[in-house]
Amino acid sequence: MTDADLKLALEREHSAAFGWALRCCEDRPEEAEDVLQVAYERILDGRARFNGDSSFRTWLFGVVRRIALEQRRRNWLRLARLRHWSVRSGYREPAAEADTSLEERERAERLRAALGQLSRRQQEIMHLVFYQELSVEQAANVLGIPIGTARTHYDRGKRRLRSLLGGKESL
Amino acid sequence: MTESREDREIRVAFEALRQVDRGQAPEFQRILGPRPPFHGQPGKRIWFVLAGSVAVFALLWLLFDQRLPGRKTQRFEQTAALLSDSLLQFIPQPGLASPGSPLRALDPGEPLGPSLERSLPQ
Repeated sequence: MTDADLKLALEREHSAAFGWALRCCEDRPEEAEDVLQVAYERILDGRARFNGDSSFRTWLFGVVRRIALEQRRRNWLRLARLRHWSVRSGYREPAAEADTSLEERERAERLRAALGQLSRRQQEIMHLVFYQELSVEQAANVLGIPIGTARTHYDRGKRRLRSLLGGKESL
Repeated sequence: MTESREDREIRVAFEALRQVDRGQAPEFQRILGPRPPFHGQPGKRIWFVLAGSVAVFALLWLLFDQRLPGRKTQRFEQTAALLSDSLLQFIPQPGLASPGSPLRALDPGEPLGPSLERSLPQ
């Protein structure tokens, strides 16, 4: 792939990649942007190379996830402090209001809260399958886990999510 | 394969989340462009400002200290005062008392204590 092709492919996947980066950074947009920037830099300067073994999106998500994990390890102290501050002050990232209805935002908020109660692996699988519309196999590829393990997490996660979302109020 | 009702509901909820996230997504070109220094790292910025303030303060203090009249000489005089003491102006010599000193001159010829004969009871 030439540089121009790579840039084009990245631009095409940008919105989805941001959604995935957000998930990997526990819904912190600033960090998601940082992770995306590092990922794009590595891809464009050839440090991360796409070899065509999987779809471009699957590969890109894998790169984003790896970088998010690196950043998290590096910044764990800062993140802990930020989390402490955001809990104490009740701070929430402002949601974009231009293109979304109140109902949609409430629904998204409920889903976020429910996802927060799943295990990290389940959250990732749910996001990749339902948000990014990947197959369970592709999700397993992104996460670097066997397909059987991915299926187990998927089934358990879905069951739990259903009970969390459908318990008291329907979507 | 038909999708179950619950699956559809989950999918609808994720669609809402996707819409909300899309509104927050930065432009692609902005991500590729350079970021401002300390972007998203308020802690580093604070440390940078603190270190800068300390450096400036130290520099100003040094400059101010050098310009103070007599500041350096005063420090010199404190040690010089010890050397100008009358006792240290002369090298002590056996048999010679320092001028003005109330101390007796040492006489190396004189015994250091009473003789043994005088100290014994008669």
